[in-house]
Amino acid sequence: MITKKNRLIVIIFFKNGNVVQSKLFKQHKIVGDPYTIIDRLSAWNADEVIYLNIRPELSHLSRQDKKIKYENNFDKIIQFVGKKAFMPLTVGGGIKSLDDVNKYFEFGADKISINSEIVSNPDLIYQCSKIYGSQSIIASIDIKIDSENTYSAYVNNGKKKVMLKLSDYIKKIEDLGAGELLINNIDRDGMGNGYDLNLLRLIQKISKLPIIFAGGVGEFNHLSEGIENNLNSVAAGNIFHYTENSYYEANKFLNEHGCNTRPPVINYF
Amino acid sequence: MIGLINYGGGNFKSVSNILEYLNINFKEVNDYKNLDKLSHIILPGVGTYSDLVSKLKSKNLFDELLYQIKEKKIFYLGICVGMQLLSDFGYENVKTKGFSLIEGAVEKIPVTIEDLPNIGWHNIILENKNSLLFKNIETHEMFFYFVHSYYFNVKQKEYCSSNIYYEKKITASVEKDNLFGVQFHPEKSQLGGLKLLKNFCKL
Repeated sequence: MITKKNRLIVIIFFKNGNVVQSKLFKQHKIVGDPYTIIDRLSAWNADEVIYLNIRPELSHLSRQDKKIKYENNFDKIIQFVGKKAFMPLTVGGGIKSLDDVNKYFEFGADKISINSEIVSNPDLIYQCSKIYGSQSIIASIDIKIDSENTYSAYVNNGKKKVMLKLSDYIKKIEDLGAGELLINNIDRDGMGNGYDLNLLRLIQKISKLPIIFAGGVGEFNHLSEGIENNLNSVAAGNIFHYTENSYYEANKFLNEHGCNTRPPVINYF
Repeated sequence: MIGLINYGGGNFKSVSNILEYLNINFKEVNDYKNLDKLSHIILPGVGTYSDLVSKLKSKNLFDELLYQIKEKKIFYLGICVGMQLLSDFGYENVKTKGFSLIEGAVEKIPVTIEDLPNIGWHNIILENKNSLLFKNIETHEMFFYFVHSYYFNVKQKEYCSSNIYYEKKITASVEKDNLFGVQFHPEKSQLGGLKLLKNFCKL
């Protein structure tokens, strides 16, 4: 008997307070209203949602962009969303201190996701897991194939290579007390050509932690491919932006294809 | 009046958000002096058993809370660690004494294949058909969100009103007289969770 369900997780990327679609971690196209998207996710009975802020100072801005002073409303958005997210909400991007962590938990986040600070301030994950428990700390790892043709982790929005071997890096993350891994594949980001299943198998071999896997989903069957390869939590971003009832349709597809997700429903609150 | 305990470490905010959404009147409780005149108490929890106990004790809430629910018999709903607190002992980090209101201890989930922590949605198995918590919750809403590595190993199974299966049966909820507890997070479980909280508050 299995009571546990597979999770279909939505990742929403923000930049300068806008919802954006991301491609190869470089191009970001504005796609939606940051405030209303949560209502749709609630209506679709989404399993879980991850809000990630792409920090403006780390993304590729054209010279023209640099002259414009953006107002970053990310915190305001999280405060708003926290009040109505009756589903698990993870917040990440630019979390640098325990104060940031406290702030997002107070806004109503259930988990926080930490990426670059794993390298620059590893003690942050350790402290967080001691205070809030590992279950509320996600280690986010951006991975691409490097010049030596091996999978490597990158930080600072895909710009800085982590010098540790991927397996050592993940072991270090486990030791620090993270409770979940969010794997994002830079090479497949926004490409729609499916998950890199070799990378998935590699991560599964390295770690016993729950894995949320993202990067490359362009069709619903890419999600079922993940689940068929023993991935419990499939995640995607872009695919949910363009079609009507996309989450509902994706979940319906998974259900019809033998994936053990919750039954698809549309809620009316 | 319903009291929602804010001991400075739990998911007070998520639960207060949902109570506001449901138009349920409640009072924030962060002090032992505010506990009398309450009809219901909700203790939301995340984090570890020992941490919860020490935080409650530092605010002198532990003994007063126990008195209110044990002697005055006011309705109690513990969420996650808040439920685990009803047990005799918790074994997370250090052995810690709990409320000892429902016999049993809180132990690490003994898994060999499955992931720990257990994170995700479970279709729960209702063991007590007369459960007050799950009243009027439809079959398709019996899905709840879990995040935990430890579970309440309840001695007398009649107090365990629902379970999940994670290599073995794991307590999902307890119900005993005025005492209620859920291992999952109703405040994060959409419609089923909304109904469950409403059920408790209407008692």
